[in-house]
Amino acid sequence: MTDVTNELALNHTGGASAGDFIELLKPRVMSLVVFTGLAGIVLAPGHIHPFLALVAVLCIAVGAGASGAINMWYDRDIDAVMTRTVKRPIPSGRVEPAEALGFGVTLSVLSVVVMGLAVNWTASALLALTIGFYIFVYTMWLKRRTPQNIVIGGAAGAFPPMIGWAAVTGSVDLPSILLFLLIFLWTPPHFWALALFRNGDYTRAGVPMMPVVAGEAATKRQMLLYTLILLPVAAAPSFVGIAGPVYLAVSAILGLMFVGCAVRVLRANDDKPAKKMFGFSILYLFLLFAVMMGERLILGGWA
Amino acid sequence: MTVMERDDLTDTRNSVEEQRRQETALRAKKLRGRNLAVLAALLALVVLFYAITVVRMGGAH
Repeated sequence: MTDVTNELALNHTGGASAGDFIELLKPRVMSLVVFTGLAGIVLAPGHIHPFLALVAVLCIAVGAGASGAINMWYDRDIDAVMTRTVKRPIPSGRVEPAEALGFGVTLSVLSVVVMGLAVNWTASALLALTIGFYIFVYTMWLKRRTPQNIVIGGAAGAFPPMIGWAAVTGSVDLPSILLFLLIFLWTPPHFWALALFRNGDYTRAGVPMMPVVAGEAATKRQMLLYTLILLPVAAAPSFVGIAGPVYLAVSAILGLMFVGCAVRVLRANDDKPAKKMFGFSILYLFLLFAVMMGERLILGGWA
Repeated sequence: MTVMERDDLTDTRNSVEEQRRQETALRAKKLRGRNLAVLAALLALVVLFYAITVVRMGGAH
């Protein structure tokens, strides 16, 4: 017991380590953001210098990470009561809240300015909008007030391909809006699957997630509805010139599998199908963007 | 004070000193790690701005 106490005390000694600050950037969330941002760059018509494309991806990653750090600063009270988040750097006492805020704000400003100076100001403005939307609209306004938090707040996670697209073209076009819509409509079933098997966590923290407020049955019905709406939206890139027939076939198969997951969740009385759906949802989005990029890179441009 | 009590006292003192030594070493290790990370970030930023300038001046978009 004394050893455990000593170890805990030692972990807090000397303040935060560099690793704690990296943890503030939510590296796992960042990886999906980087991937979809890169997809926007690859799929956009036109040319961008490879180094500037790398800078754009870096700025998207740092901006996303920075907003994650500010989110952890604001949500430190609810993070401390949720099993999933209690070990994060702030609730565990490894990083001071003010340090996290300063870190997040500095990186946010830096990522937006570098994106503007190195790439273009449209991409920079979209990145600033994304960070602002995630912090002010989702984290501070919606998250604790409405069960629609994840529906509207999901827009923040849907912007990266649009930013990547704007980095190449300097504009916002219909195909990039479709890529945005794809992630926007994917977010509710993805997060609600998580909320279904983490229901207790959200109830304890007082976060009005859909399963907490509307109940599991209503949430499951809405998840199915979103997966059905996703079917045509996910196929749409094939009809606006950014994807081809391979993608169309893959999106149809994966879309039907996603609907199948939602049906199993709807019929289930335990958590297992929701856990499976959560895992599949990540694979689903990853594969859609991977096939879109693969088709573009291997078979050439469609636009 | 008996010999046994004196031994106990010495043990406790040694254990406190050992813990203090561990804390100091860990604090130094964390500080060193943080300083190196800041140095790496600053150097990366310098290289990044230098490379961006070279690429942009080369007329690339």
